Amino acid sequence: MTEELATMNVSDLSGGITEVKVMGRMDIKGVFAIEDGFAKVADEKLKVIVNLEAVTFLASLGIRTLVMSCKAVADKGGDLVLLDPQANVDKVLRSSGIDQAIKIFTSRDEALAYLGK
Amino acid sequence: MSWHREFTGDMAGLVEACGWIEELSSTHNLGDEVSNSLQVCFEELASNIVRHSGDGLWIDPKLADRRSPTSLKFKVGLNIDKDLVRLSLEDNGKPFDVAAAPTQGAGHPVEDMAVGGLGLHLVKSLSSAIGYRRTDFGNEVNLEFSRVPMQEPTQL
Repeated sequence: MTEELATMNVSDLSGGITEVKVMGRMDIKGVFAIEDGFAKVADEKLKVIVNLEAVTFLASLGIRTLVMSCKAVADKGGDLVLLDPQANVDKVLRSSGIDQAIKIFTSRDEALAYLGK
Repeated sequence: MSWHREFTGDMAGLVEACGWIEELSSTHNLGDEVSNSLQVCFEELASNIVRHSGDGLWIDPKLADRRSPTSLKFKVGLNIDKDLVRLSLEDNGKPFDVAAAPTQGAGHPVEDMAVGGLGLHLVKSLSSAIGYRRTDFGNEVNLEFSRVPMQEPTQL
C-alpha cells in the first residue's frame, strides 16, 4: 500500500484569488490530512483555485471535500474552480457529474481570468 | 485468482480494507483505468457501509441471535480474470439495495447538489455491471469491471 497522504499548499495570488495546491491521494486516509485546511480556506476565501495536477487519486471522501468546499464558498457569493486534474481524476470528476457544478480548467490563465472577471 | 477478507465496520476496518484493495490492484497489474475504477467504487461502497449501515442496525429476526448492534462487519471478495474483475461486498447492516437506489446525476448547480447521491452515480458510471441481493449475512453488492473496452452498465 502506498503511504502517499495528501498534502496541500495555500498561496494568496493577486486579485484576491487563493490557490490551493493539493498533492497525493485524496482517498479515505488522504482526506483526513487536508480536510481542516480545506474547511479553513472555504470559510475565509472568496475566489479559490484548487490545483489538482499533483493529485494521483480521487475517491469518495475527496469528492465530498471538494463539493462541500465549493458549496461553502458559493454560499458567501464566491467561486471555487478546479485546475488541471490528471486523466484518472478527471474521469472521476466527470463520471460523478461534478464537472456540471464546479468549473474545471486545464489552463491556469483561464482559471485566473474566470475568477478575476 | 480470488481473495476474500472480513473487516470490522469501523474507520479502522475501512482504512485497512481500502489499503488491501489498493495493494491487490497494484500487485496484479490491473491497468490504470480498471485499478482506478475498482478503488474508487470500493471506497465509496465501503465508506457507505461504515457511515450508514450501522445506524440503528437493522435486526432481521432470523439473524438476531447471531450478532449484537455493535457488530457491524463487511466481507470483501475480489476475483481477477483475464477479461473481468469482480468485486463483492457483503455487510450485516440494515438493508440497502445499492443497485436500485436513486442516484444524483449530472446537471445540478453546486447549490443544489446533494453530496450523498454523487457516490452511487459514480459507482454505476465506473463499473460495467452492478447487482444486489440479500443474503443470510445481510446486503451483498456485486460489481464487475471489464478489462476490455467499456460497455454500457448492465444489471447483474
